[in-house]
Amino acid sequence: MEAALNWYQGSVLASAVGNSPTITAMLSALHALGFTFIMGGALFANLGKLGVLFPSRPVQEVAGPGSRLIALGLVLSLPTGLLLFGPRALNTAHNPTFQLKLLLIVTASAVQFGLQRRGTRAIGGLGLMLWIALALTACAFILLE
Amino acid sequence: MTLLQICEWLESTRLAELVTQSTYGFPIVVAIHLLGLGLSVGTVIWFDLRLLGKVLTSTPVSEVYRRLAPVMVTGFVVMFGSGAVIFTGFATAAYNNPYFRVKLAMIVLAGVNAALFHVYTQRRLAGWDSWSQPPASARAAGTISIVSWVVVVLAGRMMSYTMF
Repeated sequence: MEAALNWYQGSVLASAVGNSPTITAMLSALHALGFTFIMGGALFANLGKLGVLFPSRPVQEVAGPGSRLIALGLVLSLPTGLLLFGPRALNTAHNPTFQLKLLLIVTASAVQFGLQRRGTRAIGGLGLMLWIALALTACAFILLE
Repeated sequence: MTLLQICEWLESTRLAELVTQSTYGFPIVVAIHLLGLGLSVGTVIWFDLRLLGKVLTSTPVSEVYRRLAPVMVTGFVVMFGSGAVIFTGFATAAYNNPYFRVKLAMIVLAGVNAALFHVYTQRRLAGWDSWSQPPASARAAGTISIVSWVVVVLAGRMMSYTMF
């Protein structure tokens, strides 16, 4: 693991990102846009499952588009996050807040997409809590970095 | 008093000092600003998609608005409040930053677009409230809103990397 991180941090790609404030800023801008889509999708899909938003509509009519916006957010956030991670891979990988952030991404995605067909209130509540925890951890990562 | 002088005065206030001098002041307000962004823009996008006829097409536009408004308004209050606090600490740097100007212009565009929608398009809402595909003026309002808020998010992040 340590060797892989070392290789990635020393790679041409990581150096290109690390040496260019413009590339870093553009990646970070797309990362933030992905974050916004994830938050918007998570609120919509899970408040729909909880019956808070549009209780008279079938759950999938709300949860389906919500999950698709989360997926779009992840498509934007994950590759840009990986590229932003490159120049500081060794330090960041050992940061407990970053490790928690990764764990929450995996868990929240598994609940959202793995249990998508189960439109129960419990799944909606769990999904919402996990995505909110991820947002708070992402903010804490900025705070403590 | 010029805009720049107002920015200089803002930076001399106690609030600005709290933002820039305290160890956790700035990152905490930035974190609140990001959460507000997720709540506000993350919710307004669903109303815009309904105006475009892409989601909840069998739900009246007025109901979509009524259901989303509490989250949307809370998000915008948090986002603009925290944004104003951050601005006091770095007002002159923001004033001179091109991305801040783009961001501000796009917020004004989004605001004018929303006002025009409420004043003109929504006035005839009863006639098309239940249409799965709202009229062209409503679809245009939805498109302008999505584009302007996406640019606000992108310019906002670019700004923070080019200001300090």
